[in-house]
Amino acid sequence: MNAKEEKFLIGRIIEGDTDAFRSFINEYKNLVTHIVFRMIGGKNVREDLCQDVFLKVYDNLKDFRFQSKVSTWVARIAYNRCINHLEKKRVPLFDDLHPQDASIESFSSDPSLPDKAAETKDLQERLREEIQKLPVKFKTIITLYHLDELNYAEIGEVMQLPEGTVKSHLFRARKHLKEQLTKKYQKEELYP
Amino acid sequence: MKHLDDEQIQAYVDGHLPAEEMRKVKTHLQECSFCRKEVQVYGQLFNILQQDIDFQLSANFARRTVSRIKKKSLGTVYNKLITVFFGLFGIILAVNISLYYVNFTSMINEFKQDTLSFDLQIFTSIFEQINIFISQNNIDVRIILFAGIILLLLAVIDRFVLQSRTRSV
Ligand SMILES: [Zn+2]
Repeated sequence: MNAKEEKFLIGRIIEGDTDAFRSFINEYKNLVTHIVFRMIGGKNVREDLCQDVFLKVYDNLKDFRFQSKVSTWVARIAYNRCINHLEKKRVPLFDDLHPQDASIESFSSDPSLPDKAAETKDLQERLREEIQKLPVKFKTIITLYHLDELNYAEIGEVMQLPEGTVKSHLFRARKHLKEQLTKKYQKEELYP
Repeated sequence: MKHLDDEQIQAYVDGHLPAEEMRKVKTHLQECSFCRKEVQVYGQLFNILQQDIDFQLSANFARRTVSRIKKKSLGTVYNKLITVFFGLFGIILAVNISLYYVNFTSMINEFKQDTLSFDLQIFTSIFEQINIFISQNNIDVRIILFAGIILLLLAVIDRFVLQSRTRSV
């Protein structure tokens, strides 16, 4: 959808056209689910949170002035909604990456993963587990960058972080994931 | 020989390297199998990070979200309207009943005889005025009652029509 079509669609939504809003949801639901599903662990609250995000978008659409891209604005609402949820759950939001600690801990103290099961799991699944273990802001940045293809500036706008911070966080998160994968599993597995 | 650092490799895989550095990195990679492996690992990592899996919402997510919006807006605007309808009807009904069944003249007289406050006397005299007005102009109270019922009916019809309309969307 280009900017012109987007403006037209939003105009119709403000006029009360609910079909237009349904199209809007379908256009942005991937972006919203990426953020919500990455940030929120609880499976049964995720979908409700996605709905909340779109209800909030709907309520605020008439005040949207197109200073930023619609996607950035929607992502920001989703991000803030999740932060809000996590604050209520007292999930630490400002944790930093500690590569050494994390690798020891994740390797030795995960009773839910018997060795055999871990062996049969493919690389993707292992990586997803490692991503879920990342501190909130790191996994959000990784998701927005790789899945939703936002650039540093846009991610900074969504998360209210300076561009440089986004860049360095992204670098560290990916380095961390690479180290986890190479440390934890034999290197040969990475080269099928 | 100095190996490439992670920052260089990430930028290389991301395609963010300036042309000059790109050449240097490429030359190094041709000679160094260790760094080639690193590039491969990062490449695989980025590939997996780009895959959109495990993010499934239920099939009719958009429809359900829209219906929540409709419920919400119905709940705010129309519930208010309906409250106003019922409120009006209630007032009309109350006035009617009191005018119909209470013998105002005797009540007012009782009040006057009492040593009640001046406020209450004003209040009762208003009722007295209404009573006089109605009897003088020959107004049938049943007409007012009828008007109230019609208002109520309109409110109910309005609500049903609206509900069926939103269901069909
Ligand atoms: Zn090298």
